[in-house]
Formats: sequence, C-alpha cells, structure tokens
Amino acid sequence: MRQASIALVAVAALIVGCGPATKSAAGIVVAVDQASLTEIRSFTLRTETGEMLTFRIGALDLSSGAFPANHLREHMATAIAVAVAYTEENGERVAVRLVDAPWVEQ
Amino acid sequence: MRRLLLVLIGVVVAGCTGGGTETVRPVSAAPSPAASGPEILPLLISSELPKGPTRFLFSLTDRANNLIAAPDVKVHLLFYDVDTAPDTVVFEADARFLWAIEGERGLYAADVNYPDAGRWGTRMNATLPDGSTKTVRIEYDVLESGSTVAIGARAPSIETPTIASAGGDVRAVSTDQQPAERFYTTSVDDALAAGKAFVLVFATPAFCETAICGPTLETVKSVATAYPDLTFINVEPYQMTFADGSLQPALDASGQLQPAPWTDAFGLRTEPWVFVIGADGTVRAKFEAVLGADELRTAIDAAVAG
Repeated sequence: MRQASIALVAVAALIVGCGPATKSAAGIVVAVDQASLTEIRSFTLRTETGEMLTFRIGALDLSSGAFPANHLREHMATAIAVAVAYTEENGERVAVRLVDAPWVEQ
Repeated sequence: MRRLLLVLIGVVVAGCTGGGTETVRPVSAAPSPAASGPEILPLLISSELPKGPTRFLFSLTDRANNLIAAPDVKVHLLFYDVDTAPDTVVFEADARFLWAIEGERGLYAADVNYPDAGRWGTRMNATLPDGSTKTVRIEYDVLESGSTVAIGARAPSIETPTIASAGGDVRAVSTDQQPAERFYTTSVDDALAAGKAFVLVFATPAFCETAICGPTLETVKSVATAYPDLTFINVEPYQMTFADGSLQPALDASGQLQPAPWTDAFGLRTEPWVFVIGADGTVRAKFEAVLGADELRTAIDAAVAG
C-alpha cells in the first residue's frame, strides 16, 4: 500500500507540469554530460526495453516533488530509476521535468 | 495489487501525454525485448577518468535495469588499451563494494593507473552468490588530464572559511546539523603552509544535490575520531550567505546554485569530493561521490607516513 501511495504521488508530481506536447519516459541514468558543478547539459536514460534516450536539459519545472538536474548523478550512482517529461524540438528531446520513478521495480 | 497499480500508472501518465505519444511504462509491466547481449550492463559512475592513478567507480545492473551490485557479488576487472591492442590485458584489478545508501544500494570502486590517454576498454567479470559468472565489456575515453586536481599535483592554496573568519559561529560556515567544529578551524591555505597532511571534504549536508554527500561527510567524521591530531576541513561547495542563523545558497540571476571559489580552484564538476593531501602539499588520494571508511583510512595512513 505504501508503495502504491509513493508511486501515485510520483506520477502526480510528474504530470503536474505536463502540457499537450509533453512526452515521458523512464529508466536509469547511464550518462550525465556536465560542464560544471551547476551546469548539466544532457543525460542519457536506458529504458527497460534497452533503448538509450538522450535528453538535453531544458527549463526544468521543479514544482511538486520534481528535482533539479544536479540530482541526476545520484540516480546514476545508485541506479535508482528516473522519469522524465520532455518535449521534442528540432528532433531533439528536451527534458522539462524530472522525478523519481519508484514504481520501476528494481 | 501490484499489477493493478502498474495499470493505473500507465493510465494516469498516458492521460498526461495525450494520444499516440510515448508514455512512462513500468519496467516490470512488459517483457523486455532486450533479451540478447550481455546479461549484465555497466554503469560508469566516475565523472572523469584521467591518465595516471585514479579511482574507477562503476555499478552493474541486469537487462531490466535491476541493480546487481551487492556485497556478495564480486567483480574482477580487466583493462585494455583499445588504441594499441584491444584484446590484450594491460592490467587487472579487483573491485571493492561500497554502500552508496547504507544497506540499500551500492556500487564498486577500484584503484587503477592508466599509462596512456585514449580509448580504453574494461571487462567486468562478476561472480554471483550462487557461483555463476556474468561478464560485460565497456569502452570509454581516458583523458590526458581531468578537471579536478590530479593525484600528485599541488593542491591550490586558497583561503576557505573558518569559524574564526566567519565571526565565531559554526553555523556561518557549515550546513551540517551536527558539525564537528574541528572541521572548520583551518583554512586550506593555512593547512598547506603548516606542512602537514590533511583531509579536505567538499560536501554540503543541507543543500547537497545527492543523497550521498551527507553520508560521505559522516563517513569522514567517523574516521576523523581516530586521527585527533590530523587536520580535517569541510567546505561548502556552493556559494552561501549567512542569514537568519543559517547558511543559505547564494543563487544567481536565474535562481541556480553557484560554485564557491575553492570548488572552482579544485576543478570540481560534481560533488561530493574528498581529497587527502600530503605534508608536501600534493594530492595523495581523491574520492568522488561515495567513500568507504577503509579506503579513507588507508589513504590517510599513507599520506601521514609520507
């Protein structure tokens, strides 16, 4: 029951900022391209299907439980799954919201 | 219950994304089509791998992204210089397991020494608790030099905040809820001038961007009790201001955290980091992200011994 509650909160947090053109994906972080301590350029997610998806960091919505891009390294170090809401601009995926994905069984 | 939950999540997220778009799909909800290839997959955690001595930080998952790294999963590493002889082992190393979140999730570290920069490969041979073995090989770039101060290089002499320089209030130099005051009595430039080994920790317990920076400082604090005469310094990696009795991040115009001058001086692009510096002022060991008490003690003992 606790797991269910956590998952529902996480999903709710993910979709708060979603617009009609927003897509989403989940997986574990396998790479973070970081120019400086505070400047994360992009990251790559490995989905449950083995797909590798790279996202440029856009203007992130940090409301309602979403986390900043600096937090991605922890997710990579611990292999804790991430859900990302993103848009597509000129064929590029642009992350607009990041949340934990505790419903991903690990 | 779990299946119901997974279906519910799919419905909720699909509603967010609109018709015909990708959705978040719970990993366990569908069979993985990635059923071929290695049974284990690597995660290279180190943010930089420079030529020379360095720490190789990695983890392992299965094809469904489940974490494999565990205390009873042993990993042996074989390293290849891809540019010169891609199938010839140049050196080997046993990896040690470290908890990133104590008792919950961990990863591996190995001390390595790359003789050259360029394209390198590493085969990871994992032995599981049942005795079975799994293997995977990855390739990556080893840099001529990293952004952080190299092992063997002189540590930058830079003034860092102390209780005294901040007016006598430890809360003006630390976001640790239970600060060890000895960590805030010496500036880095003074520690270097003293000509004795010391330990420097870049970690911000209150404003860390990772759940592993708080525990890293706690590990250093616990190790420090066995070295009462050694200097330990903790600096906040981000620019801070003291307001209303506590440190607050000094955000830039776009609301972002800003690196502190000492963070830039040491070339850090991630946090936390721990540096062990010898009496001659050179970096003897450095640890990114996760730190084991044993490996810190080993590094300190070596630095103190000269």
